[in-house]
Amino acid sequence: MLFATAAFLVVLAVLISGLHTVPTRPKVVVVRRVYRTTVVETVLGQRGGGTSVSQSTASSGSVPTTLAAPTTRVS
Amino acid sequence: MPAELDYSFSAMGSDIRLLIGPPLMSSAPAPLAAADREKAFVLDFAERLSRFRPDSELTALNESPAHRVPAGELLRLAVRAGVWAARRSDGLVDPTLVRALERVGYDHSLQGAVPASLSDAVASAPARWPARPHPAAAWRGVLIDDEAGYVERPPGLAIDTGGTGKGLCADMVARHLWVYTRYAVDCGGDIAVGGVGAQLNPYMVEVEHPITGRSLGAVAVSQGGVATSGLNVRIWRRTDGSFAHHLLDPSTGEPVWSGLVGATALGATAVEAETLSKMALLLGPDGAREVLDDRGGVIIHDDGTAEVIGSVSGSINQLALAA
Repeated sequence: MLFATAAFLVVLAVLISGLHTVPTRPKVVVVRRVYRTTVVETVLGQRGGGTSVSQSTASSGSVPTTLAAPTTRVS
Repeated sequence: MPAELDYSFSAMGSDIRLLIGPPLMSSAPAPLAAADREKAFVLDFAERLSRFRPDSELTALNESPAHRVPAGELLRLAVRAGVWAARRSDGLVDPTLVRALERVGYDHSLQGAVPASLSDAVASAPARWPARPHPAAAWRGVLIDDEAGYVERPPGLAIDTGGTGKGLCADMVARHLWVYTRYAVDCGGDIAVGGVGAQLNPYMVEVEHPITGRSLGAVAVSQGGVATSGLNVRIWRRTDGSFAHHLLDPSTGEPVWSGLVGATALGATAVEAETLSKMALLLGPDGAREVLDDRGGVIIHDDGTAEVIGSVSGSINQLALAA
C-alpha cells in the first residue's frame, strides 16, 4: 500500500513538472485581415460579350468597424 | 458587439454583399470561409440559370424541342420559384414572357449598358394603366417532376427565371448561413435577413430612390426578405423612339406604365418580397396599396414622391422628390 501511494506521488510529481516545462509561446493577436480577390471573367459566344473584371474585398477581425447599411435597390 | 464580416463581389450583373456575424457553434466554419463558399455558390447559380449564356441549363431547357426535359435540382428549384411567383400573383409575375421580352428589345444582357432617362420615359409614356395577367396563363402548363428530375412545358414555351432569380439566390445563401448569429444576403438589392442576432438588433435596410439614386431612409428588417423593383435600370429606347423596359404587362406583352416607377416590399422570404414588389409596380398605386398592406412596403410615384404602405418600422422620407 505504501509502495503504491509512493509510486502514485512520483508519477504525479513528474506530470506536474512536465506541465511547468511546456514552453510558453508568444501570444499572437490578429486584429484585422483584408482580402482582395480579382475575378476575370470571359464570356464566349455571347452577344455583346467580352471580358469583365470584378473585384471583391472582405475584411474581418476584432477592430470595431461601422458597417454600411445594406441597400435595397433596382439592379 | 462582435465584428461582422462584410464581403462583396460581382455576379449576375449586380453587386452581391454578404454580412455574416459570428458562428453560433464552434463547428461552423469561420465567416470568411463561409463567405468564400457562398461566393462560389452564387457564381455557379448565375452561370447555370442565365438566359443569356448559350451553355446554361436554362438555355438548354428553353431550346429543347422535347415536352419533358431533364433538369437538375437547381434549375427545378428556379423554375418552381417562377411558377410560385406566378401563382402568388395570379399570373401578374409571369415567367413565360421570354418571347415578349425579346420582342420589346430585351434579347441580350443589359449588363454595362447605360439606361435611358427614366424622367424622359415617364414624360412621354402613354396613359397609365394597371397590368393584367395573360388570360391563357401559359405558366400553368409548366410542371416540375422532382422525383424523376424533369421539367415539363409545351415545346417552344421559354421560361425566364430572372424575375425571381436574385431573390431565390439570396434565400438559398441565407439558408446556408443559419449557423451564424446574424446575416444579411444582398443579391443586387434583393435582400434576405436572418439569425437570432438580427431579431434582437434588426438590420436597417436603406431604400434607394429609383430616380435620384439617393436613400429615402431605412426600414428595419429582422427576418425574411426585402426587395425593390423599378424601371430605372433596364430601360432603353426602341428604334421608333419610344421607351421600353423589362417589366411587361402580361396581357399585352408591352412595358407597363402604371403610375409607379419603383416599389419596395417586405416579405417572409426574398422571393416573396421580390414577387410583391413586382406586383405592386405592375398594378400601379391602388393595387400596390392592397398588395403591400399586409407586409409593408414603399412605392415611388411617377413624380418621384414616396409613399409608405402598411406597417413599416424605420424612417422613410415620403416627401422625397425626384431631382
